[in-house]
This record gives sequence, structure tokens and C-alpha cells, in this order.
Amino acid sequence: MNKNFYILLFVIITAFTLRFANLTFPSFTSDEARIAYRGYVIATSGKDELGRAFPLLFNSLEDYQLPAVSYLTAAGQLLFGKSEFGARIPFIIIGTLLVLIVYKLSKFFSPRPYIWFISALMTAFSPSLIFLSKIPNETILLTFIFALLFYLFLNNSNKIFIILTMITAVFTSKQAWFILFPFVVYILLFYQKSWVKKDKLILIAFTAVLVLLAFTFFFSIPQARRSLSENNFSIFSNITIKNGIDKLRGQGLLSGWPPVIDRYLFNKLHFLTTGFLHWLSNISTAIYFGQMDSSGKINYSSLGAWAKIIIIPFVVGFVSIINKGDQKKKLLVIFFLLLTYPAIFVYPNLSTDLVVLTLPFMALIIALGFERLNKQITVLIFFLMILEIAWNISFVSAEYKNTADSRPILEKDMMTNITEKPITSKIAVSDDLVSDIVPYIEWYTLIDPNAGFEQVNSPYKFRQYSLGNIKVIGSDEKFSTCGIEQQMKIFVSNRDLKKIQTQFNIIILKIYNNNSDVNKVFLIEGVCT
Amino acid sequence: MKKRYLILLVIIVLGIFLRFFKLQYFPVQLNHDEISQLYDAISIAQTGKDIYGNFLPTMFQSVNDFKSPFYTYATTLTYFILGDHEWIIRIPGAIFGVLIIIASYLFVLRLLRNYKIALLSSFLISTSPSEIFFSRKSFENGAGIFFMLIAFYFLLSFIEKQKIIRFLYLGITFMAVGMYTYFSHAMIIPLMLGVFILIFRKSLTGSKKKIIFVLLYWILLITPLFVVILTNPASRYRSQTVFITQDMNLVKRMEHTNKYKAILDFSFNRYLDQFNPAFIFGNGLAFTNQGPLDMGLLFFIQLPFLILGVIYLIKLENFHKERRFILAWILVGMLPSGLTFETHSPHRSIMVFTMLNIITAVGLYASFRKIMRTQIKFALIKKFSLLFLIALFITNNIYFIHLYYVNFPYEKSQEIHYPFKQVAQFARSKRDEVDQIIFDPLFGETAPVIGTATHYYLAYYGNFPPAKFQKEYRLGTREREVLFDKFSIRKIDWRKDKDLKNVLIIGSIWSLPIDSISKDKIIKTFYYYNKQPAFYVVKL
Repeated sequence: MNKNFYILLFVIITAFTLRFANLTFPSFTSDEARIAYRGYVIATSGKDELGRAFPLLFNSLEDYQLPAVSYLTAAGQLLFGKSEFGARIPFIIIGTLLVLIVYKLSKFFSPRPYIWFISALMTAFSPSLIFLSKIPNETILLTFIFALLFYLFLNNSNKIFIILTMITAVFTSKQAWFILFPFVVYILLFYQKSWVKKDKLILIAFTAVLVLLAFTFFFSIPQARRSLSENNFSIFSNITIKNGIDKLRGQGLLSGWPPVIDRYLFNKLHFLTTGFLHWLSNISTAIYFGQMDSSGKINYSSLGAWAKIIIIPFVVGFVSIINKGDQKKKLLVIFFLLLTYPAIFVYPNLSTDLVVLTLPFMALIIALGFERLNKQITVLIFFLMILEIAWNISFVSAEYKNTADSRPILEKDMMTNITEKPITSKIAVSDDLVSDIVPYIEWYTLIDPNAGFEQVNSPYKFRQYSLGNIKVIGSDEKFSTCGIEQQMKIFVSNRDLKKIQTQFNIIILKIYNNNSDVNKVFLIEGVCT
Repeated sequence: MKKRYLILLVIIVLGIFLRFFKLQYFPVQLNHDEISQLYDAISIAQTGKDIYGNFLPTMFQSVNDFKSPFYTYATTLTYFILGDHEWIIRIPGAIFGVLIIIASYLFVLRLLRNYKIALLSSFLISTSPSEIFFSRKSFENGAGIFFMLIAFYFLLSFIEKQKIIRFLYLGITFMAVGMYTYFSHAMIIPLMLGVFILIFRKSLTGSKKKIIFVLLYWILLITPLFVVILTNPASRYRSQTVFITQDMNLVKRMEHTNKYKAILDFSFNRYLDQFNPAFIFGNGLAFTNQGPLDMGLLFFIQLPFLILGVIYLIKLENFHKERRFILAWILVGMLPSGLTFETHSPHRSIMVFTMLNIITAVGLYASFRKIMRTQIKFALIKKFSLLFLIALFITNNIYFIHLYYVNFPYEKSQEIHYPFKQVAQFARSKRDEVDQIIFDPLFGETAPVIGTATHYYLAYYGNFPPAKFQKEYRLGTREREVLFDKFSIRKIDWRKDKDLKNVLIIGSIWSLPIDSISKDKIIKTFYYYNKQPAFYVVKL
């Protein structure tokens, strides 16, 4: 065991610690709670939360979900039971292994162990990669897969492993269907020089067939077109652009401009220019070093993908590879475009999940930048980086408050209250407490999974409103006095509380505050739905 | 050599045309900044005081935004030369906009030592949307950029020819003048000078004594400026009102976390966001309300050449100092925009876009050189490539012209306080028929906004003598009330005001219950540029 091994071990342990510390942070979003619960149900019964046996497509708030993440969570829950640990540990491991992959990758770009360790350390300390390693999500898995795939190609690994990795990518995220083919072609053309032409062509053809099969299978699903239109090609249904073209053209006509010139200036090409600029906005320095995601879904809400100070070695690294880098290093820059180009078609939302895919490649460039800096500056940069990361990891109360809407914590307190009752009690919960309350109910209570089984085929943005004795109430719900043997506990929002208070005298048993200490949920008695 | 000066002349003439063509009509009306500076300039010319009675002020109270004095005094000069016309307020801005073209040629020639790039830079600056827009907007920042470019031209000339000491003094003098033109320049220019000395220190080591004397001279020149900044409470007030801590998103964040960390995180992100490509190439000039269908600060076609320019500059041998200076220019130049409460404030960072135009010119030069050096058998492709590029460039220009002259008035007339001029002129015409004219400047198509500088509009278009205005202007007792002559600019309280006699009441739908007012009492309706109703005139 040489010195390098121990340094690497230290880096891996550091990465793991950063991801494992404060295990229950961040609190889950609705979809993450859904994946966590789903993993448990699959592990124990082979069915998803809706009662479907080993499906290949799952439900979520915004789109279909591909299976890899759910089955990975199931593996964690099979081993460790229904717990935060069981739900998160597979992704903590994936996130830690990513550090190892980047270390291995960096060996192909520099003979200096210094660069290998810096690359690994950067990956270990990336706020976004730390954050995503702590929650069930497809982004970290896909990031790992693409980094692994790159490594397998450079390492001349057995083609079986390459194929298996590609298949895993296809089962992880729809984004992979768009990226995989150009990614593989690019690597084969510019990085993989040792393969014969025939092997390259076979693999390219295989990749094309794999992706085509994925799309073909997907189009057999009822809401496939809608899914693609809303989530992957939203720019084309963007009414702002269409209306803008018409309006500006109309103003030109009113002002006497020749119609042919107005048509030439204002036409559907604007979809392309808008998409193109929007794509570049995704890979701007503000996202990488400023604030990646203010909603706190894929990163700490006030941080970029990297600590702020890392912009210095990144710029130095970028300049050095443009100036003096060999072709292999220069071509790293193209990965920023290859891995994020689907963002052209998603407007106006940012596709920060695609930006995460570029982070391992960026770690290499940053490491090359550190190579050009002197020791004192390197130490200072590391000190400032660790200070910023440590602050955000340690003082999470601000993060809880900033993400009160996307990552509520009160649901956990509420659901703990529900488990104190016999499950035979009738319970009602307002549906406007969070985007989707049902996953929280399922994850945080001891509910019988059968209560949620509905046998819906190909659920797309499917919402449940009933889980056995637990009912989710909407804005049109009517309330009445409870009958003699009726008893109901109702967790209401401000919306329903006001409605109830105008009709009934009720007792508020308990008030739950949200992350920002604002009264959000009221446990009441005395009325029934 | 004569050919290059001829080309430069053509570029300058083009620049003059683009900046002066229908300057009196576009933008379609003087905005609140223009009208306030214009009337204050006339007041200074006629009385030596601003409209509030301050003698030769070092800061103009204006609409409580405490403007820097340079542009107002420049307009006073224009008034003396050209007389009283509303468009004289735009002349200094347009003149400096043209001068920037010449200054950029000289600056680039000295910095990059390549006359072709210098000509390309001048051409791009001459036709650049941001340069044209701000030149026509009566904006003082352009003057500062001109002085900066000329100053650094002379400083670079001194580095090249260190025996000619006058270059050093000229450079420093122009630098000092530039600091007086705009508030952010008082901060930016010294920073840039410090950066310049740091980067070129080795070239300056032989002239240490000369530099010390020159710096002392510079300090002497700028001392009055800093006395004003440090002693005038209005200066502090202005800094506080525009600083990033006024942003409500930051205020919310500060409630949840350590204040200084929140400011650091927020500011850093705001600063980096100024480099957002969608902002620079897509919608930075905010000509429309149509989301991404807008005009960037640079043409879209410039994007690939900007990237090429960056790569070319990185690869240039023996170019380290110049490269660092260009980088510093951009990083420092974005600071004002990055530290203010607005998400994007391009008017504070025009110097950056000037430099981006220069880098684009470098990219264009590198591309043209590559194209021209390709083999003869590809001559047709060469010609086609060049023609295609020219066609794209012309398309971008026509797109800009359409947006600026056609769409901008329709979409953004409210933001330049249209139709306050027509309202003011009408009010003047009716002045003698009534005892009082009440004007509530609360207006807006989709949401109410209080129009500022209303008293300036009424005074200027009412031909109200500044000397008289200084005596009569006073604050009233009612909400938002300002009074002079027969005018009361205030919030309308229709429940009480409807009983007034022999008055004109001018208000929008946000102040007047139009549906319940008898139609024979509404004697006039004023419209936004897009023909939507803006103000109603009610005669009681």
C-alpha cells in the first residue's frame, strides 16, 4: 500500500463523511418521499406504491420516472428496512464512488498524482454533489453513470461493462436517451483511439438501437407524447414566444413596415435562438459558482455547484487547456455542451440537473487550474472552500427556512402524530399543505401499503386522495358535525380552517409551524368530512 | 494609411447617423431623467440655481435621486449654444457616443497594436445596439467611457514612449474628468488605474519620480469630487438607495441567516449573473415585454466571434499584460451592476460592453484572417462565408432598428412616462380657464406606478420660468402633494375632490372611478403609445 492509496482513502472517507453527516438533511420533497416509500414497498412486496408489480415506469409530480432510482432505493430498504438510512445510503455510496471514478479519470489527463487527488477532492467537496448524494434522485445516479462510462472507454474496459452501463443509463433518466448517443460517438471519435473502426461502428449502432428502443417503448405508453412535450420540449408549447412573435410582427405592420420584412425578422426561428441562449444560461458562471438552485431541490439554496472561490482555479484551468493543453484536455470543454444540449428545448425552466452531469469533467479542469497556482494560493483557496462548505453543512437552519416550500419538515412532525393514533381512526388532511401530501403520509406513518394500491396503469402525474382511513381534502370539501360514533382528526391548512371556523365552533388541538415558524397546519376536532 | 482613415471616417459618419437620426423623435418622449436634467439645466443657465434654489449644486436633487452634475452642466452648455429645444438634452449623450467611436479606435490601436482590429472595433461600437441606445438616452455614462478610453490611450502611449511626459499628464487629466461624469466612475476609474499600474508596473519602473508627481496632480484634481461625495449627505443617501441591500429577495434571505453571509452569497450571484448570455445577447436592453423576444446588449451574431476573440487573445504570445488588463476592465466594469438592487442594470456597465465589442472585433479579425488564408480552390466557399456573415450582421441590425424604432415605443412607452408631455401641454393650454389643475401621476397599464418628475413635465412644457418655479415650488399637506402656480400634483381623493369647482382633475383609472363619472365631464383622454387609455381629464 503506497502513499497514494492512503491519501485516496482519506479523500474517500472525507467524501463519505460529508455525505453521511446530518443524515436526515435535507428533508424530502414530495417526490423524494415517494421514491423512498416506493423503495420500501417494492422491497417488501414487489409492488410500487400504487400496487403495480415490478413496473418499469413510475409516477411522479411532473413526469414519468424511470426505474433505476426506485429499485436502487428498494435495495437500500431491503437491507436496512424502512428508514431514512435505508432510503439515502445507496445514493451516499454512489456519490462517494463518483469521487473514486473522477480520481481514476484524472489519471488519463495527467501523470501527476497531485492532479488526481485535487480532482477527487473537488468532487468530494462540490456542494451540489454532496447535496444530491443525500437524497433519492436520478441526477446523481446519471452523473455517476456518465462519468463511469467515460472511464470505461478510456480504460479500454470490457465492452460488456460498457454496454451494461449504457443500459443502466437508459433505465435511469429520459435525459440519457438524448445524451447517450452523441456522448458515445464523441468519445469513440476523439478519445478512444485503440479500438478498430468496426468495433466503434458496432457500438455506435448498438447505442442508436438502444436509444431507439427506449423511445419506441416509451411511445407505447399512453401519456408519452404529453410527457415529452411538457418536460423535454416545453419550449415549443411556450405561449410567450408565440404571442411575442405575433405581437411584434403586428406592431411592425401597423407602423408600415413591409410584411415580408416583418415575417423575415419575426418567425419560428426565435424558438431556436431563445432555446440556444437559454441553454447557455444553464452553463453560466452564476449557476456553477453563484446560486445553482434557489428552491433547494438539487443544491443548497444559496450555493453554486462549487464553492465560490473555485472560480479562480477553474478559469486558470480553462485558460491553460486552451493555451497549452493537448487535444485530450481541450476536448473536455465539449462535454459541457454534449451533456447539457437538451436544455435548448426546455424553456423557461433551467435544466440544472443536466448541469450536474458536467461536474466530474469540470473537476478535471479545476484540478488542471490548481496545477498552475502556487502553493500559498492553493492553500488559501482550499481554506476558503472548506470554510464555505463547512458553514453551509453545519448551519442548516437557514437552509430549512429558505426551502420551507420545497422541503417542508412539518409534515414529518404531523405524521408522527398520526402514528400515535390507532390506524383505524379516520383522518383527513388538507391538500394544499404541500405540493403532494400523500407521499409524506405514506413515508412517515405506519400505513398499510395496501391502503394506497389503486392499480392505475401508466400513472402520469397521478395524485391520490385516499389511503384507507386517511383522506386528502380539497378546496371544495364540505364539512359537517360528526355523528354519534363518528370521530375524525383533521389536519387543516389556513384555507380550510377559515372555512370551518365560519360554520362551526371547533377546538384547535395543536398547531404545526413550517420551517419559517409560520403557523401552517392545525389539528382540529369536532367536525367531519 | 490614407485608406484606413477613410474607412474610419465612414465608420464615424455611420455612427453619427445612427445616433442622430430622428433623435428628437426616438425615444418618443423625454423620460423622467431627461426632463428633470433639461429643466434643471435651463434653470442653471438662467438663474445659476437648480429648480429647488440650490446655487450651482454639486449634486442635483432632481426627483430625489441626486444625480451627478456633469450631464446637466453639459446640457446647460448646449442650451447656450443651441437655445431652448427639448432635444438639446440628448445632444451631449449623442456627441459622446460618437466620440467613443474615435476613442475606441485609438485605444485599441495602442492596446492591441493592430489597426485592422481597431477599425473593426470602431465599426462594432458604431453599430452596437447598446452603444446606440445609451447614446440616444441622454446618459452620462457614455461621457465617462469616452474619457476612460482616451485616458488609457494616453497612458498606454506613455508606456510605449516614456520620454513624452505629456501623455502621462493628459491621461491622468482625462481620467480625473471621467470620474466627475458618473458616480460609479468615481469608484471604477481609480480601481482601473490601480490595476493598470499593477499590471504595467515593470514598464513604469523607470519613471517612478514622474509617476509620483502625476499621481499627486491627479489627487489634486479629484479632491473636490471626494469632498463632495464624503460631505454631501445626499451622496450617502443615493448610495444606500441603490445598493444591493435594497433588493427584497436579499432582505428576505437576511431574515433567515447571517446578514453578511447572505449579502456575500447574494452579491456574488448577482455579479456573476451579469454575464448571463441570455442577458447580453438576448434581452439586456429590455425593449419589449415579450419575454425572450427582445434585444441584447450585443448582437446575437457576435456570440461566436466573442468566443473566438477570447480564444485568440488567450493564445496570443507575449500578450500577458494586455490580456490581464482586458480581463480586469471587464471584471471591474461589472461591479456597479453587480452590487445594485436591480437584477440587471446595464447602464452602469456600459464600459464592459464596449470591451466585449472590442473582443468581438478580435474574433472577427481572427476569423477573416483564417478565411482569407484558405486555399484558392475554396474561393467560392470563402466568398459565400463572408457574404453569409455580412447578411447575418445586416439582419441583426435590421432587427435592432425594428425593435428600437417600432416595438420599443409600443411596448415601453409607459416606462418613459409617455404621455406626460401631452398631458403637460394640454394642462398649459387650459391653465387660464380654471382655478386649479390637479394631476395625480399614479398610472400604468397593468399595475399602478407613481410617475416621477411630474412637476418637471408641467413646468417645462408649460414654459414656466425657472426663476418663478424656484419661488413657488412647495410641498403640500395632502398625500404626495407638490404645488406650484395653479398646479397641485397629488393623490386624488375623489370622494372629496368631486365637489371642487372650476378645476381640472387629471388622473388614470387607478385614481379616478371613470365608470361613475359623467361622460360630459371627461373633456380629454390621453393614450399610451399603444393606444390604451392612460389619463383622463375631468373638468369640474
